Amino acid sequence: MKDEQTQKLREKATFHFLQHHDFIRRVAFRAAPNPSLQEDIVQDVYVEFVSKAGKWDYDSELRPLLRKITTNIAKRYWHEKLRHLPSNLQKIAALTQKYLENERPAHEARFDDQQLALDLCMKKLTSRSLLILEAFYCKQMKAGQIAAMVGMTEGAVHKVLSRAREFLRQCVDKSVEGTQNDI
Amino acid sequence: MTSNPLQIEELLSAYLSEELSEEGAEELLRLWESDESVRERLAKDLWCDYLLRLKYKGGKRSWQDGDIPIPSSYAPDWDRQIDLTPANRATRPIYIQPVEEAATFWQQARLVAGRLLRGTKGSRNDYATLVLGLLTLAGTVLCMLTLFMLLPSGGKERSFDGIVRIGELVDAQWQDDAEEYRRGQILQPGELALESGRVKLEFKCGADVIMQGPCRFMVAGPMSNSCLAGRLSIEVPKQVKGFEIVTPFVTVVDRGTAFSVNVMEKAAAVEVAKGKVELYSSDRSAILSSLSRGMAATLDAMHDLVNYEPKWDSYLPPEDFEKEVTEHVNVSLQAKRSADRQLKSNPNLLIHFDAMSRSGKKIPNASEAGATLCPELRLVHCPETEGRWHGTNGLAFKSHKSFASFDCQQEFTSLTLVMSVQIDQQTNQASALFVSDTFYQETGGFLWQLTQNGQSMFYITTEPGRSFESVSAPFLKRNNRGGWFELAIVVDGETGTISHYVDGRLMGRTLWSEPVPLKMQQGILGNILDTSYRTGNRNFIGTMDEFKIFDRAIPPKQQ
Repeated sequence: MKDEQTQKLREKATFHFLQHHDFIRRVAFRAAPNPSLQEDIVQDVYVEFVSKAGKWDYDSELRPLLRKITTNIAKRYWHEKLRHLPSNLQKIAALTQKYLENERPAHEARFDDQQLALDLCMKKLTSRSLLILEAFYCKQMKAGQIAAMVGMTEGAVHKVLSRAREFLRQCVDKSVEGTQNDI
Repeated sequence: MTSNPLQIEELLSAYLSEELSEEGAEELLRLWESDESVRERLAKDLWCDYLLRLKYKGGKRSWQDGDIPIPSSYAPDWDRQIDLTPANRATRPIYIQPVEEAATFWQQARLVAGRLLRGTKGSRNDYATLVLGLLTLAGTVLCMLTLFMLLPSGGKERSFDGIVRIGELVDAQWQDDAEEYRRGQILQPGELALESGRVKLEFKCGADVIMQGPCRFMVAGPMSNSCLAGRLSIEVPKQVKGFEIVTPFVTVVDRGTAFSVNVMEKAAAVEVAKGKVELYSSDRSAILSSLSRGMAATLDAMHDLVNYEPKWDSYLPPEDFEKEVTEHVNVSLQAKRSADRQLKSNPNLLIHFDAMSRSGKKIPNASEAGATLCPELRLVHCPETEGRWHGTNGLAFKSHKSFASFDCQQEFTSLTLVMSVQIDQQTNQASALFVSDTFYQETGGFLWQLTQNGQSMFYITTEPGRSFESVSAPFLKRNNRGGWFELAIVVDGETGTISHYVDGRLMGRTLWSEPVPLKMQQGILGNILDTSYRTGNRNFIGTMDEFKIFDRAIPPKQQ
């Protein structure tokens, strides 16, 4: 019976975690603006929240609590990451993090809507851009390796990646604002 | 300071790739400090990079709202499996075994009991576990017995979004000008005028009121409603106190009962079958009397109370009403089954999926003509629920994960789609009823959905990325939500018309100047899975009972 109760509490905590999923992602990103850390941070937040499922008051506003948990975990990862960076990169990272916290709010559209919009926008890229994106993100190749594969310079590969991101970002922003033709 | 855009692109990308050299970092830092646009671009590129990493991480999207998984089902989503037992929390990120295999208290107790029974000497912990287990078991049994004795039977709050809904109808005829009411329909405050027959009203609090025509009932609030004329039979669960019926002569306040009220021209008669009621003046200013089980009284406008021997001609026991409903439903069902038998061999009926024929997660195609080509409907997250008729099954579509699909490669010049649905809510921008897999991608693909304005909408892809649309007048309103509807789309390729029908009534017709053949290879009910042409969820939330496809334009009476 206790086992069932624990399970039910975990389910409840998971449900509430999911309800605030977008919020947690945004807080995590602003506290530790490094994409490679995000999934680890969100996972740890989930584990932390669910492991103390019996402690929380689910009838009250959970955002302050989730913000606190997420920020603590994100900062821990962020500081660990920064420690291993050269000083100039540390400075850029720290400045970017401050910039995101103070100047620019993280994207407010629903996360899943952005992902769906990304899928749609990627169909508008050229085949070369898609090839390079896939090599970089899916096969996790370095720019130099991609350059050798496609017969370009490393700088040119970086430019293609940068422009693709710029294009996709603008396209996603436009889509989630509802200006794109939608069924 | 003017920055070289090409150089910035290269530096930003190298930064995101974690391949930035020392010189590059120095240059980027200089640019970051001097150029506002670089800061903005980096912040945005970081977010885009994040989205791309998630996309390419096995193509999996993150959780979607509405999921209620148990933690162990999440384990496959992570690289590591999660063990939340206390011993492992402190040593994270070491993960040992999935949650469902972690040793639970009862698993441990069983092990201990086994050891002891075999005569193996147990440790102190083993004995403590066993004693604790036995005590817990004894306590649980005691609690359950106590609750069983204390709790009243039946009647708990119902889960629907409203005060009251139509439960069952038996030969219900409504008075002139009255709107047709449907089973399951959620009622708004207002008068119900029943000419004949019986209608059960189910209140959210658990009370049931059976109107016996002719009867006029005023829906007012969750606990207080009025009977203006006619007979009511009321069942109120014990834990619901204070449910009242106001009449022109008396207000009857329930104290955990079953009773009847008969409002006549000059008086009201109250008979109590179970429990107790209190009788107040109709303005609730004075208590007049109370009646217990087996008592009856009439009250007139002067509040003259006359006790009498109850005749029980107004009170309808729930089990008797249930029998009436079953008989009534059986007649309708027999008629339906007879019609279905005739329809089975109709050469134009390609698809007939009936939720009553469900077998596990599949429904076989009842159409003879289409059985080989389109054998079955496969159900995903569609649990059983009550169907269109009392005592029958329907398919519940509760979440964005719910859908049903079937394989059926076919091309149509004309087409008729028929569906029985009960719509619970419309929180999505639109609710998909049916979509062919070719929709939006190929000419001839088609989509049928309900809009938030309560209209039926039908799209046909005229060329990839473009669609022709046809829309009906609004038929789904706030005051008929929860009721069952039979919806139909008739696409006539010869006359170039698309017609929308609701319960056999024409609700809209569109002329289609350049008809194209309609095509599908796979059909999906209740959801749109292809995300290339929509953002946000489009899943239907409600119940489906029956779905038919004819390969020609069939008017409603022949469907």
